[in-house]
Order: sequence, then structure tokens, then C-alpha cells
Amino acid sequence: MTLRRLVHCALALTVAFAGLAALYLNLGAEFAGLAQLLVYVGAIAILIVFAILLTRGDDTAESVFSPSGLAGAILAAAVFAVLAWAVETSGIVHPAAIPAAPPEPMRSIGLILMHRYILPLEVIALMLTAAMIGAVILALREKRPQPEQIQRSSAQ
Amino acid sequence: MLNESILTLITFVPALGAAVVFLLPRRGRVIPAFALLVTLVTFVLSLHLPWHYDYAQRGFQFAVNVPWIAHPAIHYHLGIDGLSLWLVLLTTFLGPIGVLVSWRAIEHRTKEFYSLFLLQQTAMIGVFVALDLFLYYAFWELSLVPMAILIAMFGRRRGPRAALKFFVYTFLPSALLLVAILWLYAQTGTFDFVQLQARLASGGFASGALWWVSLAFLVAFAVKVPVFPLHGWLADVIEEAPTAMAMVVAGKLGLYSLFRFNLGLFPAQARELAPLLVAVGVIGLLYGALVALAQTDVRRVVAYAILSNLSFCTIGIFCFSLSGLNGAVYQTINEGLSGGAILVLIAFLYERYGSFDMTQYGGLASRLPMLCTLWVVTTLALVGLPLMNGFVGEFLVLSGSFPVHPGWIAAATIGVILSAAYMLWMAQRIFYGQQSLLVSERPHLDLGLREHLTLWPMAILMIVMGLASPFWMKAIDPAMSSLANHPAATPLAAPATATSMPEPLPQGGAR
Amino acid sequence: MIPMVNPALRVLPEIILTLFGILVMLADAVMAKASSRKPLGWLAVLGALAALAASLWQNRLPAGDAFYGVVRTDAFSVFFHVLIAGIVLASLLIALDAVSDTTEGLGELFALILFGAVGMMFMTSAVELLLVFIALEISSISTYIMAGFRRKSAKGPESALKYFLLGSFATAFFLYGIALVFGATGTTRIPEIASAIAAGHTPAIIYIGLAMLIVGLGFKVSAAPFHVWTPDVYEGAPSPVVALMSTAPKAAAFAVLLRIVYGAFPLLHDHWTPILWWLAVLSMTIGNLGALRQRNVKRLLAYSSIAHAGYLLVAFAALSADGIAAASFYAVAYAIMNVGIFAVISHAGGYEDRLTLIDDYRGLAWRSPLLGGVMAFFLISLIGIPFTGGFFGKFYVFVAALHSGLIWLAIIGLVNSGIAAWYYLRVATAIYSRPSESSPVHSLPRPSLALLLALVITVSGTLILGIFPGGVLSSARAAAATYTSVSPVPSSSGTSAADTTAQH
Repeated sequence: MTLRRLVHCALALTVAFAGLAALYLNLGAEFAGLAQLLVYVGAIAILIVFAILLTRGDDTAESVFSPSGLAGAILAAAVFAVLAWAVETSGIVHPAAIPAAPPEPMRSIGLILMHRYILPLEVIALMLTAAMIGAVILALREKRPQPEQIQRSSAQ
Repeated sequence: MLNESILTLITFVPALGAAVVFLLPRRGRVIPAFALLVTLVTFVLSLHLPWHYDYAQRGFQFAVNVPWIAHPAIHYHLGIDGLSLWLVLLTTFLGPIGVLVSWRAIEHRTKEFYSLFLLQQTAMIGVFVALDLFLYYAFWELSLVPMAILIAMFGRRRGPRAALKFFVYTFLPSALLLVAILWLYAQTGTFDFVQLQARLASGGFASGALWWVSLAFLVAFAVKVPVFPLHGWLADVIEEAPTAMAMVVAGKLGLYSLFRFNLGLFPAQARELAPLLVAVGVIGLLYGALVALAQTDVRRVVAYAILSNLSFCTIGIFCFSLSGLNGAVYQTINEGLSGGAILVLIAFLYERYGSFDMTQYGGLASRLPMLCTLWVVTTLALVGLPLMNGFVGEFLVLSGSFPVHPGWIAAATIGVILSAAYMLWMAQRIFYGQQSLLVSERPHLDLGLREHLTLWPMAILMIVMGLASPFWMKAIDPAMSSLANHPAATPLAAPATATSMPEPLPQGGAR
Repeated sequence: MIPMVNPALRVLPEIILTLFGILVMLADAVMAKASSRKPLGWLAVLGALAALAASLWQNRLPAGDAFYGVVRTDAFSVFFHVLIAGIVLASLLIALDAVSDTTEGLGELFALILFGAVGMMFMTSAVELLLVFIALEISSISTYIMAGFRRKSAKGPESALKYFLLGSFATAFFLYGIALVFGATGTTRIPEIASAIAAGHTPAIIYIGLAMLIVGLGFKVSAAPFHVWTPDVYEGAPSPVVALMSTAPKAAAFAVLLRIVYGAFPLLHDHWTPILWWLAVLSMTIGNLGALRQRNVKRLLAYSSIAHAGYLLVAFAALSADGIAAASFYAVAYAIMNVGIFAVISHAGGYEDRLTLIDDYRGLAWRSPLLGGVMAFFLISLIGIPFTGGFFGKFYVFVAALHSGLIWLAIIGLVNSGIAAWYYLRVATAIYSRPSESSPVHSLPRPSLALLLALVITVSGTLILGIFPGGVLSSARAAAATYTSVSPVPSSSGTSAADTTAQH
């Protein structure tokens, strides 16, 4: 929020993702944590950075502390405080007995994915194909008016 | 064998013809000639009905009843009784006449016109013969569509508007009619008219709900007749529609349905509403007659004359005396015949002079003697001259209903006098007096062969129906006697019909 | 135990469509740049035909699950598979007629239609909410893209974006609903949810979850008040695409809704019938009143589709096997007539929508008796005139409603259909009015073979549904019968019968 350059914002987001991953790992959800690390930190953050680099040549300087930004920050802090208080005082945080986690969470997740959810997993591929076609169509045809630009970008 | 399939044949031969018309080439008069052939074949087939009709027997004849759709239980159930017998014949009889009158009038898009015309025939015949409520409703709705399209496509300048008006006027109440039919089905599990009649007569239904159901039926039919305050579409449609459609648009479908369903299924509820409907009928009679007097456009005169004549039928129906009901049926047929004839005559007049404004005419009698003769015959039939068909109907209605509602009927007789006034006045203005400019500057062609063929059957029938009414009555009378109050009870029933009902049906207590 | 069936056979139509979709894309890539892409369309048509045949063949499979209980083939899924395959077939033909050789991205269009169809088919056969969700996404994503296919017009991308945003919102609702239901019952399999509820697992969040599922699907079927995207999207999308997306995804979403409410939550019917009751009333009324004010034919049909969704929901609220059968039947009847009318619109207006306003259609029947007649025929079916599929569908829906004692719903519905007659007729009268000199219907292209095929399919389908509905009706009833084990006895019908006897 307070950073001036968009790239910095993206990098800050990456740090936030990494923090979230650490949180997951801490909670014992290795799979979610590692997936978070791989997908968000590894792939999405890089993508965002690339997108910024490719699309934005210059950054516009904006005033850092706008009144609405300040109000948003206060509001966020208030919400955080309320939630934290609620979590802290509720009984869920300190249950009598934590159910034992499966011994090999990664393995069981893999088994479930490859057994029970094998079909949805396969079908997701189709969904991604459709989405990719859409993205290609929407993105590529935008550039059709300037064919030389396509050639240049494909040559790189 | 033929007795079982005859109704199916009569109903669907026109539809089949409609399909064939689509395949015919658009050359010369092939299409109208074929349509004429189809309607004539239908008419000849329908002659089988009075020939083999068992006049001694009550109930439905020539019946065919086969399952059509298993669930919901819908049957293909056709059959006729003395009421529908003559209405089917009237429809098939007017078929060839409709083709003949359109012969010249429709020059373009003949394929569409005649196939829709034939489809309309199927729908109308279907309404009269269907005894399954689903089937009946299907034909009832179907009859709207070709009519509306024909009016829109082949009507005069404002045809599309008139068609829209007609459709919306009749379709909205039909939607409620469907609710009512479905409610009956939900309660009884059958769409079959005969079973429903027995079920409803045996009682056991919430009388409040039944009252609403009967009201939905009544309104749907009253719009189609049309009964007085619901007649908004009539004048426009008669004015704009092609003649073949204007001839059949009003009257018989709605009146038949009133007889069959409102009286047949809901006798008690119909009697509750009877005083109101008689009053409305008389008002409609007088209103129609008075408005007709003020018109100069011949088509509008006829439109209001039709309204006035149909009100007569309403009065006859809702007096529940046997002679009133008989008269109402007879008058329904008359109206189809004489009203149709006058519209045909107007069409022929228009083909010659291109005007519907009667002030532009005058002195035609000496130039077109045949046309004039037939016009006068038709006029006399419409005003109810003795020895003509109109007299029989009017006399029966008036004599049958006078004991029931003397005050209203006395007022109705004024309407009869008024009708004579405007019809004769119209004839006088067109055919007698000074020759007008319009008449003198056009060539004078009296009726040709096609026109003779169109008009004479109608004129002859008008006279025969006036002279030999018992022939028709022997079928109508048994059918009506089951709907009427006991003949003996009629005179006593004068103040309140509901009290002297023959069948002790549960009266509307909870509402 | 069910006899062993190769699981692949249970998803055979989907596999066929996927393969053909990939084939179309590969062929598109290797074809010369300048050559016409229309043969690809015929290839896709072939694929749709094969999928149709496979779906019909699936009727011979014993009902059962595959892939660890994720998909189920039974009479219900086969019924909707056949419907979707049929719609896709007709839409492909319409698209073939409307596009020209130079239309951009044709190969992708045909492939997307096939891929979307896979999603819709999975929606109808999935009994696992996660698969339902993925299938929903596939079908939605392909329709979002197709809606924006006509990039040159200003309305195209705008409508696609609107569709995308609101649609994603809806799927998010759906997903959240799944999560809540999972939280409440510990499973996402539909039969297991039902048994969990039967076992008494009904915490408060399950109601919220159910409501969210209904909201998400309400968007997809464009039921009011979740209908706002419909008119804009229909207006902006190319007509052949509208033919598809106004019918097939909706039919699939209705199938999902049926599966969810009758398959997973039959015991909570006290809670969801009032919701559906109100959705039905609102959809019918808002749809019809909205349509009254439209001058653009496609917007008018968009509102009419909202109204038809309302009629369909009436059958849902009936809460009986008859209601399910009526809903399924209505889905077929509506799909056929709607595809049919869009076939005419797409041909007369072309891919680029030359005819938009009702006035533009003035004189269509005089210029082309075939097109005008067919369009009027479908309008008549949409009004619900007897001997057409539209009538029998509506009839059956209201039979079911009245059987369950929903008199007011029936009255509101039928009065609505009376109102609807008015705006359909405005179009019909325009078609049959004499054309003015400047009317754009003067330059109609010649109907192609593809269009004629599409019209033959839709017209004969509508007539068969209207005159001999027995065959489809018995399939619909067989489909409904798959729920009889779980569907509750309609209590309201019992009370109305009791009323009658009490009066007696």
C-alpha cells in the first residue's frame, strides 16, 4: 500500500505469500504449505512481475497517504483486532484433544487425488484448455492490427 | 366402422389439405381450387352425420375414445350430440363458401391463406367434437392462431392491430380457463367430459372453488362469443378481417362452449349467475342495436348487429327453459348462416364499388337486381321475419324466456324492433332511392356464377330452416332437455331460478 | 452389486466430444491459413452426432456410478445428455449457416462449443459437487469466451465482460455453498449428503450452503433476481452462440439444481420450496414485464428466457415425481423452440446482427415465407399454443403444480403466459405485416443446407413434443423415477385431497 513502485508491491505480495506458506507449514499442513510456496511464490509472483514488466513502462507517482487509504488501514486494523479477540477467546483454539493428523498427509492427498478424485482432476485439464483457448483468443486478436509486432515478439 | 372414424376424418381432412396446399405449385387457381375440393369433401363427409344420427338416443354418438397420452391421462375422445351435430355441419357448410368468397379477394400469398384457412376449419370442427378437456382446449387455442395470422396478414390496413386485439382479448381469459381445467383434473384425475360431468354432478367439491372454476370457464367463453361488456374486439375484427374469417369469428365457438361446459358441467353455478347474464344479454342487445343505428360503415353495422343477435342467444341460454335453450341453439346456427351471408354480400358489393360507406351508395336495386334480392332475403332472415330461420330462433327465445324474466324480455323486444330498423334502413340506403355518384360511374355487373354458387345455398337454407325447423329440432331438443330446468318447473321459476332446480346440487354456501 | 461396466463407457459421450474438440483444434492448426474453416464445423457436427448416439446408447447401461462414485449414469443423466447433444448439434448447424469463410477464430469457436458441451454433460451426470463445480466452470468459461467472440462490435466484449464478472461471482457463490455443505456434512457426494442429513447432521450452515448453491445456480439459469446479465449478453453475443447458451447450459444447470435439491436435500424441502416458489414468481413476472418494454428482438427473447426459467421453476416447486418429469420435459421443449427461433434470427440477422429491432423484422414472412412461417411457428410455441411443444410443456408443468395444490402459482404462471402472448405477438405481427420499402429484410441470404437441417430438427421436434409427447414424456418420467427413493411424498397434494373429502 505504501510502496511507490508497482514492482515493489509485487515483491511485497510475494513475501506475504511466503509468510502464508510458513503459516501453513507451522500448522502441520505440509501439502498446503508447499503448494502455496510452489504455486504462489514460485509461479504466480513471477507471472505478476513479468506482467508488470511487459505492460508498464513508467510508474505514475501517487500520493502515498491519502485520507481514504488511512481510513482503510484503520478499518483493517480494527477488523483484525476483533477477529483476533474472537479467535483468542473462543474455545476452538484450545481444544481438549487435537485429532491426530494422518501420518503421511502428502501420501494420502495423493492417493485421494489419484483415486477418488481422478476424474475431476482429469476434467480440470479440459477446463484449463478451454480457459487457455479463451486467453489466447482474447489476447492474440487484440494485436492482429499490427502484424509486425507479433513477428517481433515471436522472434524474441 | 365408418361411424367410428367419421369424426376423425371430418376433423383432420382439412388439416391434411392444409399440409398438401403447401406442396402445391403457385400457379393459376390451383390452390383455391384444391382448397374448395377439400372443403367440399369435408362437407360431404359431414353429411354422413345427420344421415346416421340416432335421434332417439341421448348421449354422444360416433364416439371414438382411445388413450393418447398415458400420463397425465389424456384421451383422444371425440363424439357429438344433437348440439354439436348441427354446429359441425354449419362449419363444414361454411367451408366451401369461405373459399368461394376469397376466390377473388385473395390474390397474393394464396398458399399461406388457404392452408391457414383449412387449419382453422380443423380447429373449429375439433372444438365441436372434442370430448376430452385437454383436446378441447387444444383445439380452442389452436382456433385462435390461424385466425389471428389471417387477420393480420390479409386484413385491411389496420389488420395487424385488430389481430393483436383479438388475440389478447381471447388469450388472456383462456389462460385462466386452463387453470380451471387443470384444477378439475387435479381434483378428479380425468379430462374426460362425460366422466367429469358425472363426477361433478355427484357433488363433493368445495363449492367456493367450483364457483371460481365455473367463472373462469364463463369469462373465457363470454369473450369469445362475445357477450356485451367483453365485445371490444368484435367490431375491429369484423371490419378488418378477410370475409372468410369475419364470417366465423364470432358466435358459435363461444356459444357452443357455454352450452357444453358452463351448462353441462356447472349447472348450479350457471344458474346462480343467470340473472346477471340475462341482464347483460338484454343490455347488449339494445346497445348493439343502438350503436348499429349510428354507423355508416356497413361492416360496423353488421358487427353490432351480430353483437345484438348473439346477445339473444345469451338470453336464451340463461333462462334455462327448454324452448329458450332450443331457440338459443337455433339462433346460434342462424347467426352463423345469416350473419355470414350478409358479410359475403358486403364483400361482393365491395369488390364492385370499393367502399364500405353506405352513404356513398344508393339506387343499386335497378342495376344489380339479383344481389339486391339476396340481400333483402338475408336482411329479412336477420330481422326475424316469419317463415325465415331467424323467426324460429327469436320466437323460441322470447317465448321461452318471457315467463322467467318478463321485464327484461319486454325490453329485449324493443331490440328486435330496432334490429329491423337498422337492417332495413341499411338495405334502403344502399339499394333504393337516388342513384349515387359512386354507383352510376362504375360498370354494373350482377352476380356471376361463383357468387351465385356462394349465396344461393345460404339463402335456400335460411328459408328451409324457417319452414322445416322440426328437422333440426329433433336433434337439438333431446340434447337441450337435459340442460334445461324441468318443463313443469319453468313457469314457477320466475323470480329466482336457483330455488327450483331439479337436481339437488350443493348450493354455494362457503365462498 | 451392479455388474461391472467399464468406467470409460459411463463417460463415453464426454470422451467423444473431447476427442473431437481436440481433433478440431489440431486440424485448425495444420490447415492452410487462408482456407475455409467450415469443414471443421462439419467435423464438430459429426462429433455431436457421435455423442448423441453414445448418449442414446448409454440408456442400455445399467444405472450406476463410476470413478469412485463421482459420475452416475442413470435415466436422468442420459435424458439430459441426449438433450445437450441435440442442442449442440443444432447450434453447430446454425453456426455453420451464420458464419462466413472469413469469420475469425472459427476453429476455436467449434472447439469451444464441443468443450463447453463436455462441461454441461458432466454437470448432468456428476454426483460429486466438486466435479459439478469443475464442469460448471468448463461450460461457463467456454460460454464467456464465445459470448465475446464478435470483437468488432462494441457490445460484444462488453457483454462478455459483464457475463464473465457476474458469472464468476455466481460460481464463487456455488463454490462457497459447496464448502459450507462440506463443513456441515463432511462430504461432497450428493447421495452421502442426503444420508448425512437423514442422520440428523443439520447445523445452521447447511441452510446457508443450500441457499448459496441455489443462488449460484439461479445465476446460471438466469432466474430473477439474478437475471441482470441476460439481456446484455444475448444482445452482444453472436446469435448462434445465443442459441446454444440460452439453452444447453441452462438445461444443464437445471439438471444440477434438480440433482441438488431432490438428490441431496430432499429432506429440507420445507426450506427450499419457498425459495423456489418466489424465484419462480419473480422470474415469470419480471421476465414478462421486462419483455413487454423491449424493442430489440434478442433482448426480448432474453427476457422471455427469464420468464421460461420461471415456468420451469414452477415445476420444481411442485415437489413430486411429476414435477421433476415436468421440469425435464419443459427443459427439452424450451430448448428446442428457443434454438429454433435463434436459428431463424441467426440466419436473417447473420453473424453480425443486421436485424436487431422488432421493426427490422417487418415483412419477413412476405420476403421469405419459409423463414417467416418458421419464426411465427416458434413464437406460437413460445406463447404456448396447443399442438406445439411449448404448450404441452407448460401444460404438464401446471398439471404438476396444481396436483401439488399450488393453485396460486398456477394462476400467476398462466396469467403471465397470457401477458407473454402480447410481446411474442408483436414480433409475429411485424413478421406478417407488409414490408416497407426500406425494410432490411429485403436482402436475405439463401438458406444453406445446415440451416435447413437445423430447422427440420427443431420444427419437427417441437411438433412431436406437441402432438405425440408420449415418448419424451416417458423418458422424462423415467428420469424422474430415479429420485423416487428419495423424493418426499408431496404433502400439499395430500392436504388438498383432504380438503375435498372434508367438503364432502
